[in-house]
Amino acid sequence: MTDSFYVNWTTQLRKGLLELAILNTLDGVSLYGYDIVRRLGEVDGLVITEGTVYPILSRLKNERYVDTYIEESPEGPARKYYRLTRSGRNELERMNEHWLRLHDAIGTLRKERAR
Amino acid sequence: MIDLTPSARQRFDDYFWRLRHSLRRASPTEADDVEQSVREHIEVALAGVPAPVGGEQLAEVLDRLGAPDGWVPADDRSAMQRMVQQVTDRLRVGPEEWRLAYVTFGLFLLALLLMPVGIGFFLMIASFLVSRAYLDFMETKEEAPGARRWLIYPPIGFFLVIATAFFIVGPAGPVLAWGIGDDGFLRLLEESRLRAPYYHEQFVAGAAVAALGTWWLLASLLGMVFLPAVRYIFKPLLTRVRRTHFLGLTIIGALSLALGFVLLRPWISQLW
Repeated sequence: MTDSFYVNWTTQLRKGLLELAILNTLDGVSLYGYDIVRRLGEVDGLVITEGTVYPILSRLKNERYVDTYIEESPEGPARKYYRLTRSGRNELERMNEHWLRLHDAIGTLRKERAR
Repeated sequence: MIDLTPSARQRFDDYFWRLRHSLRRASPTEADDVEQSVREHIEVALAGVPAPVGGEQLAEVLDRLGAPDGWVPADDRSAMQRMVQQVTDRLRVGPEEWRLAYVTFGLFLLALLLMPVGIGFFLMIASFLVSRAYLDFMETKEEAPGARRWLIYPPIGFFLVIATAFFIVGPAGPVLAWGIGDDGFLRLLEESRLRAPYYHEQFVAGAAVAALGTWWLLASLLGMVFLPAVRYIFKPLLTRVRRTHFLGLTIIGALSLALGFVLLRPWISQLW
């Protein structure tokens, strides 16, 4: 496996998982864009370019998985907060279940190889 | 609004040009939303930095955001599908300013269709009020309507045509409508003892011009006294109108009144 193949694969994987990561970040809390980016950035290897998050947030909003509201901030400009909608929570549950199944499947394959 | 040095401003504008370019195939709603979010991100990231923010500090934030070119996946939908999606997006979850614009235009079209039934009149008033609310909303945001003016201005234009017609004709209109009828000026003339070797049409024309001239004099006076109200009602057409503009109407009114008197002179002279 060459470096470029690995880099390409991890990039694709990150892109694919970013929606799930964003929805999980918003589970139970309302956060503004910068805060979401910051929290995702704390997870090693998840976000390379911060801007990638915004088109995904916009798409999630269009799909009605998240909605937004504006709140004044004493520290600067008014901020747009994102929060999960009911359908967003349902979708997140389904996605998390699917992710766990994938994770378990890979784990099973690895265990079989180890035996 | 971030206070930037000229070089940082240039960099900022370039970045947003690239951002808009990279989002050109996304729906306008999504593009507006992303652009607004990225602006907010930059403002929050630079909130603690003393103004004016320099190019290097801005560059740090922009570098972390990354090049916008790779943000949006290629859109392989047909042009028609994208257009339908754009319209439904804007009506469904678009930013408030776009939704208001579409609601305004929708109400306007419905009002035109239902005008013969009568309810269209009320819908027209509603579409006018929503469009004015939109203009005020954009004003508070210090934003120009941009392309949305094509959706917002039709009901305002419709209202302004009616309001302008009323302002020009005013109460002189009903007077003229009555005056040029069979029981109007000519009947009045016949019942009076005034006689003159001229065409009766001259009497009608003189009375009409004098009536209009009188109204224009009065209207110009009202316009000068209630200037803010005129600006508000005729917004955005007459937002810059001044009292001197009404002086023009005063002169036209005075000239019309004088012309009316000239035309009516053969009859007026008999009064003395």
